[in-house]
Amino acid sequence: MLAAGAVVLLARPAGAAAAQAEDTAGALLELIAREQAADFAYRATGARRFARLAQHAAEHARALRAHLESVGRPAPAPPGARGDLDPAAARVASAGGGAAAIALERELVTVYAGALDRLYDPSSKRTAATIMAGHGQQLVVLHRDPLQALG
Amino acid sequence: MVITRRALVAAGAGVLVAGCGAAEPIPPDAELLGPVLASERALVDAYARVEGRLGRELAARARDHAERLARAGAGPASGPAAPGGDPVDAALALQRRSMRACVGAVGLVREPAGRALVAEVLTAGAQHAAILLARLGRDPLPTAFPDGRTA
Repeated sequence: MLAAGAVVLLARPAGAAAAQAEDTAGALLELIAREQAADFAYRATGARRFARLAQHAAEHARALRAHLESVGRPAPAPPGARGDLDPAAARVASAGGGAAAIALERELVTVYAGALDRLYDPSSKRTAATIMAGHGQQLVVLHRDPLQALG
Repeated sequence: MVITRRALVAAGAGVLVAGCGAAEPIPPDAELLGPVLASERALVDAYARVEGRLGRELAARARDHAERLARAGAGPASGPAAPGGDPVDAALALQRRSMRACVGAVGLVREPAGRALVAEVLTAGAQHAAILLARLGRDPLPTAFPDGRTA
């Protein structure tokens, strides 16, 4: 399925295809960094309730890395310290509460929605949209009243 | 950013695949969105059978999705038959069908607004599925990927 992206890319003039590959790679790099930061932050809390969210973030990052590698780009290094985290993940790592996790998950849904237009091939769009849905699902389990998670 | 030789080789392989006739023409957006609309319409009826606030709220959301998909130009498609039995189980089965339709469409829809709508419906669907699973006493977050993939 990953090769399908290359099919679409080369159906365009070389310059346009290169620009689209660059944009796709840039979006994937950002999404992977966000997932790696979420993984780090949830684990940093040491809270059992966040253990599965950390595991899911790691799985998301792994799925996205496969797409990045298909366009010949190496994965970004995972964060090594709290200072490497984006602000929303840093708040989870420091505050550790449900409110910070809800804010992070909401932000991730928004980030994925914004990234979809930058991903050129159908396969990576599907993966990103599915992960976006996964973050929506995680919002449900973070809310005491699950219906409140519905935006 | 630099496009690597590996990326170009992968792209070239894609062209070969396309040249062999492996790639099929992508249907128009209306046709891609049709199954999502049909599933959401079926969900309106399915959620109407679920008692209480949960049924009312999820039916209203499915109706909103259906109306927006219709406005976005979704074409006609045959709707899935609602399974019998327990209303929550039946709604969950239909919800998963809607999510599969969304995953199929989101990678191929050309118009950004239509793609964003499908991603939103997919995310909402994953949330609804998590709520239904919890209502059934099952794990609301069984996988990192709501479409059922394992990685």
